[in-house]
Amino acid sequence: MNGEGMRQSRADEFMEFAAGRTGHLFRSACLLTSGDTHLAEDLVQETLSRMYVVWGRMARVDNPAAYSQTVLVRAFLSHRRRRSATERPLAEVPDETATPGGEPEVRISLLQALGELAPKDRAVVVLRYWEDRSIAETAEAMHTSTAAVRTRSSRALGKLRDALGSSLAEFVAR
Amino acid sequence: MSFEDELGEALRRIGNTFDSDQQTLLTTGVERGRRTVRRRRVLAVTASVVALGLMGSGAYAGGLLGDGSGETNVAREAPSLDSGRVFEIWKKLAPAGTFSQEKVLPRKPGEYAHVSFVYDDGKGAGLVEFRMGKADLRAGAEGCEPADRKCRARSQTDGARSLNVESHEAPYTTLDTKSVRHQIITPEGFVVEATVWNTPDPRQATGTRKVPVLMYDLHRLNANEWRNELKKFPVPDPLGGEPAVDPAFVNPLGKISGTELTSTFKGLLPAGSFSDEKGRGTGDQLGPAASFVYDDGKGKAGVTAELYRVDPHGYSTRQYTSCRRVPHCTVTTSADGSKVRVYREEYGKSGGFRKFWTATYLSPQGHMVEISEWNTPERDGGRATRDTPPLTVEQLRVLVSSKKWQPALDELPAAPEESVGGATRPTWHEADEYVRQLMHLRQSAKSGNPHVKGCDSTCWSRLTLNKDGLGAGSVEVSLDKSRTNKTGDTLLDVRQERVEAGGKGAVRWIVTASLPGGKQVTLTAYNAPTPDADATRNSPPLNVPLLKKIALASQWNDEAYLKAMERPFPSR
Repeated sequence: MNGEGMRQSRADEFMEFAAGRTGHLFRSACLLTSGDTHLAEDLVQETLSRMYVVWGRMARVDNPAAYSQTVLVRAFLSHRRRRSATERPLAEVPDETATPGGEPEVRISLLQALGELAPKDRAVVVLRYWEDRSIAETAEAMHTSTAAVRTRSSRALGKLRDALGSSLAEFVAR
Repeated sequence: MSFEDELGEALRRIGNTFDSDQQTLLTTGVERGRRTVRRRRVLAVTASVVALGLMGSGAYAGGLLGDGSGETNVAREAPSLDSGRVFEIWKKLAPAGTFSQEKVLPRKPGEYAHVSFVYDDGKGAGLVEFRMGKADLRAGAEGCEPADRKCRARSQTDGARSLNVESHEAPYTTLDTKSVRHQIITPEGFVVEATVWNTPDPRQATGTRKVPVLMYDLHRLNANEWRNELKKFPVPDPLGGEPAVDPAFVNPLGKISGTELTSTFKGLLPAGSFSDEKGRGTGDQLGPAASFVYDDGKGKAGVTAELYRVDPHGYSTRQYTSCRRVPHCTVTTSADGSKVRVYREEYGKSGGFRKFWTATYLSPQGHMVEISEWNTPERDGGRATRDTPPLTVEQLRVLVSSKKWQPALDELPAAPEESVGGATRPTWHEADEYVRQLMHLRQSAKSGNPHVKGCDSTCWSRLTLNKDGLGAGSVEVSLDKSRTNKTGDTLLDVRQERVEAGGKGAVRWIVTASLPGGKQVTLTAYNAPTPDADATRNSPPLNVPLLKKIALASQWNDEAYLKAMERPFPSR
């Protein structure tokens, strides 16, 4: 195959991969941003853009799906770093969209509880309990130690337990 | 089911309810990626493009792009330096070596010469690109760009600035193609620039030598030969077309008195007793302020309010409205774009913790109100008279954003843009840096520095500055130990005047200040390298707010600090 053909087939591969992953990336991003769908869209676009750039070298990466998830989390964390850490808008209008999944109270309180976690804690929760990553994998994705992930994880779980109490059990039991 | 399992299940159910237009996300994301790839390619080939231009057929210089374009005409009509003369000077200044492939390149507007040649000192050949012309003052004001791999900007003693940008980090142990760009911006606003490579052809990935040619000879761009050639061209407008600072900002003409401001402030506070009232009006050169000792029945406490007009987007302003790396600090932004920063500080253990709380309000128009309170009657020191300052953080937040300040704020003239005029509310650190520089100069008095005089009764020194790249100016300080301020108030006087019997267009800003009980400090800033020289810029190199801040620095009265500054810095 000549160079041009190879490039084309790599591009096709990428589009296929991206089409399959975009939905999941978006849902992860929504949890990371605790429901800020506009920011989530931006993060997904950023992730896809970065994946596009490295796609040519992807042969070296075993699992592009997991890698894209890592890219998303890193994009989220670096976005958080860029923003002033303590600045918070007073007149924040909560983005109340329709809740197709029902159970609006639990949905809102879970997203709110996530939103009150520190961004890195939230990233740990999303990677561990939404992505089902191990502690070691989570640590690698976040460029941190396993001990730090354990600390963040137990702190975050404690806060979520305080905030949500038994409502999760009832919600899950339905 | 454990809480972790419940959480995982809840996240899955709720996460799956989010939905978006995936096709749009995908296309936009991919388009962004394509742009990044294109941008990287452009960056990667920049060197090659330069080389192509240099090696090319001379189509640009020959005018093949047509005569209609203004760009190409500029080069022909604008004043220029004969390229033969440029090569001649290079051959004179460079160490022994061979010159080849001498080329004349198209000039941009404002450029007097743009040439390239290949130089070989016997250890390998490398390309040299050279340009000379008017400096782009606005672009060069900051010096290094964030994207520069390794960059160093320096001020020279004659007021010129140099910039050195390297494409690779030293040590140079490989043959990878690399370049060094060196630029001198003269006090008059001219630029002399050379870029040197370690290869005759920057399109190649590797060069003929590890280190770019002439890399250690780039200081020769400072040579008088270049300066003499530049003297033939008219001196560029030192302010680059920027307007001078509004005089109203320097000497405010406000009508509201200090007493009125103090009663406004008192009216905003909950009932209590007031003593030791002081106020400055909107016409005061130190800026409007009100302060007193306030007692709400639970103990006396010092309270002050200060009003400023600042550049809302300025870098110095950001330091008062940001909490970056500051503990016990919060910033809130309101819907109208105004910000309030609240900061709490506790310090000292003697006589209980002293506490200092302050709130700063900034409107999008640059109105700034700052209210500070202590749990002691005095601003600095003293025993704590109460547990916490009298006003809660919430009260501070409401007080600083009160509309009652508006009439006084409206009397303050708009501040100049910081990118042009310098800090509109300089920080202590910024002033300290200049105090340090001015005082440190004194230690060189013994080594015969003519810009410094002894320091027995009066200290005197001069600093030549061109930090903003708008031309060389100077600042003189005179510290009169025999004159102390015996009043209880801070004294400050600002004058702006033409230098009598001075050089052409020379003006000076004189700030005389003394703290209560402190020595008299006089700062004189000129728009010329020396008081008798012709003006090289429109306004002096430091603006009035910064001069005030420097003159009012407490270090001038700190003998131990001044002594420490007299000692030479440790040699590296």
